Amino acid sequence: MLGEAVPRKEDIRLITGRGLYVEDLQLPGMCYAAFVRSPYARAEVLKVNKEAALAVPGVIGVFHGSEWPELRARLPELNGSVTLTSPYIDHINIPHHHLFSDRASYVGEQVAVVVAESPYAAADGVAAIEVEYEPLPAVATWQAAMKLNAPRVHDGFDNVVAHLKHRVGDVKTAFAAADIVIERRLETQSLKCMAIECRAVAAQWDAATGTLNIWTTGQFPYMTRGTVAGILGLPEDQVRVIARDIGGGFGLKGVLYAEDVIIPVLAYHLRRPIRWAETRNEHMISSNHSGNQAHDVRIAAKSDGTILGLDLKLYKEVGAYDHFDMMLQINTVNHLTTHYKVPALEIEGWAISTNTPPGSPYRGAGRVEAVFTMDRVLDAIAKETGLDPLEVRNRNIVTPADMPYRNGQIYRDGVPVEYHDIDFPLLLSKAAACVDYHGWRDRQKNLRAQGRYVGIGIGSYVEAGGLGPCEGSTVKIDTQGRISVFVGVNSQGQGHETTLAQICAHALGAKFEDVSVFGGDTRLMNFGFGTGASRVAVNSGNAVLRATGTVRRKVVNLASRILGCSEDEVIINDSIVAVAGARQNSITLGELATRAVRDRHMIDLGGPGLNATEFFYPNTVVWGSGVNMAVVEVDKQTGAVEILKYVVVHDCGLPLNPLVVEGQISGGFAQGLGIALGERLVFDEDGQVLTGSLMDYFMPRASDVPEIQIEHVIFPTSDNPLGIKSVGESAPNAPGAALSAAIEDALEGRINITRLPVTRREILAALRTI
Amino acid sequence: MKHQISITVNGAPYSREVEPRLLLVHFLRETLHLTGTHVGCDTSQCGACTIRLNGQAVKSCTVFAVQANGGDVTTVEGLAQSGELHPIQEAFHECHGLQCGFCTPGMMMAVTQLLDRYPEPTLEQIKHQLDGNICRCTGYHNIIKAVQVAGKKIRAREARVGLS
Repeated sequence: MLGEAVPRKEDIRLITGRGLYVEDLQLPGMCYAAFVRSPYARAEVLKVNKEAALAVPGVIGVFHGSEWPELRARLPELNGSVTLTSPYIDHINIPHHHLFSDRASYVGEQVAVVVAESPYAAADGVAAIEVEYEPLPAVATWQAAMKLNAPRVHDGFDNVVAHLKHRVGDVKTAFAAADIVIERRLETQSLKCMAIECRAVAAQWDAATGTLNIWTTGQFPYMTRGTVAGILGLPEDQVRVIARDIGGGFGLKGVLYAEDVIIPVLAYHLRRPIRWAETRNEHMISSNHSGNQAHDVRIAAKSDGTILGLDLKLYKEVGAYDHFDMMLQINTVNHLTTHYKVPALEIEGWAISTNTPPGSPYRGAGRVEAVFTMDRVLDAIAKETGLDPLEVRNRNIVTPADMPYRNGQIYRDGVPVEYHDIDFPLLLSKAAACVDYHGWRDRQKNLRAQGRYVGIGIGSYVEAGGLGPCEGSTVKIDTQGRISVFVGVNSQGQGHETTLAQICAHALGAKFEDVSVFGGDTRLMNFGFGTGASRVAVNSGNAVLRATGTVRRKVVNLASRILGCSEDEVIINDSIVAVAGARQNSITLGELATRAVRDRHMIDLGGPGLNATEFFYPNTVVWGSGVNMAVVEVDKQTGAVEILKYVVVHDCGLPLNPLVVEGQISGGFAQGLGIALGERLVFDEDGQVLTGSLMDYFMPRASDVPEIQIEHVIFPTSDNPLGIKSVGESAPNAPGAALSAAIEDALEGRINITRLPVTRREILAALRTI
Repeated sequence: MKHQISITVNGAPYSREVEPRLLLVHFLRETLHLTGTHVGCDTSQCGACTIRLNGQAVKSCTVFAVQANGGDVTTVEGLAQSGELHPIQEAFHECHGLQCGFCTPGMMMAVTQLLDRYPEPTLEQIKHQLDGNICRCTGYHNIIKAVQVAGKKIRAREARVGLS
């Protein structure tokens, strides 16, 4: 069962139209919200004239913060603990983020909300509202924000809201000893995660039970529970957050937004169920973005291609409110050296506020930038030394003989980074074999002679996932023999209902069909730490394994008494508990669970019923890894890039379900392809979004995505009982590096790619020089 | 101001009074409570709202309900017949052609037309025909597989019907 490619349990409701996404929710007496949003990147909100909106038929009310004190409350400064454990940060001063305020700090920030009897009436109300603004000078880029005398994004706060520093080894000596010194400015653009479902939230005060029910598209339901309960002064148990079917997350939904609190506060005060669903246009202008990131990197290397040292200055746009302090920057730093040895490292980083929406992670969360930098560095050394890029990698790679390998970094959970149970040279050589690296190098010469531009590129990633602190699971067998698995996390499409059921069925000896997994409901588990950071399979998966193990011990103990055998003789298969060898002597899990309800013997086993709750606390993160190799051809007339061959070799330990793991890689690859060749959120100098719809923002479609070859290399880790490493965020990391290298190689060095995405304009400009 | 319209949806007739500006997708979702059809972009780019209207796959966020008056609509809820999944639904399930499932109803409705047009589609035909439907989760590989498998299933079923 474990490791089998079983089709997913959640599919049936989703393919028949019976999924229940937040916007599908319809409750008696429901009303609908729509937001008035600032048209200015920075402005004083002088007056909100409600009268015209209140005259619109169907409008119930207009609110902008003065009505109830809760509407002026502050969102939590930091998204969970984030990086408080990182020793890298030496300065942090984050401005306060209020639900409503008199100052708009980005285009699209909420200024007022209209509640109406229908979504159309709410939109009419928004159209009727007149707001008086006093526009103020704004800064739309981090470069502008860092200028001397630049306007402040927030009064009383410096535009640099956080700063970090870290040093490994002696960089000065490394540069003094270098044969080669290379300098680059590398840049990645701001991106939108772009789940097909936009954000939504609905809330209902249930007077019968005294509960505020909240339905959310968020990835962190417990943060919603805690914040709303705190602001309204309700016990946390009177706030129930449900986040069941969610149409993709990818990081953007992994933060608490003002609307997530405003809608529940309104539902509580108005005593009416309220639903709000973001439009795509709202999503484009006001939902979080990943933020532009630039690296000034200097590399010291020997003439034989070995790296001596690296100096990095990291500039990151964090938008108007930085709820992640320096998480993304530290992720970049922690993952920077990927598979390679960099004996001396000096890093300095700045988190810079701008008058754009708040920054938040996008799948990969700083790793794309790390991989792009490290592989561009290795390719630059290859160019400089005349060595083949593959050879440069082989000369710097961390080998199994180096394991356990410590690169001198401290992960953002405060634990020193250590690689073990990984074979980087094997990943690299396997990728080279699969893509036919040396064959393409030979063919490349002939093709060039024919005037065809074919190039090969390499990208290598590591992915630390499974971040703690922990996750829990409750497993219980009911009197019909149906097994429920509760977890404190929710799915945005990852397939938890299937993979976690596989773990339980495997560990218990139950039928897969008998197991149902429930998550995304704060009433099920007391605690949960969210779906993000590629943490669910490792944390929740091992929690399910532990809870199932405890239930199994109860089953075995009780069954041995009932069946009159020793515990060693009890076997469980297909949900039937039997004495080994004795065919007649058996009992079903359901019958056993029935006995366990009233049997006094259960006093020794923790009380009635066959159930248990257990937690899994990882010591630190676990390191997945992989290599991408790409072969591309650039059309010399049009500059179009055709991917001739693409290989992903990866190691996530044992795939719990290869169908799901390969699905993660396929989807992540397509996102990486978008990052490499087109995705970019564009603001003008006043902070207006120029890519305000899916007509303007590139997203890969079916015809853009080539076939890819996926190869699993399986090195189970000793870090957790399941032996698994994370995979969720792995696939988007390397396509940017591999494809830009392949394009540069195809154009015979006539282009020096330093920015993602690689644009057609840059390629055409290079072609004109040929 | 309101207009009386009659639309057949998944074989059942519905008559309702609607505002002339009401979009067909909102008529289906909010008026008839058929929430399987989703809205992903409001600008006819993503295809999550794709349905069949009088046999044609259309983006229901770009059709007014009044324009569908007298029409015949099929949505994702109408794909499975007498409790049996449609071959396209089976294929999406077997091939892991969905992850979050949000684009899936529109994607499958587009595939119904794709396979009507091209019972044995080539890879190029599949990719071209799916140009109006965006998926952010799957990278399309398994969607393409599902289209191929669904085509085979439909052809096999038609062969069985032909034999009997």
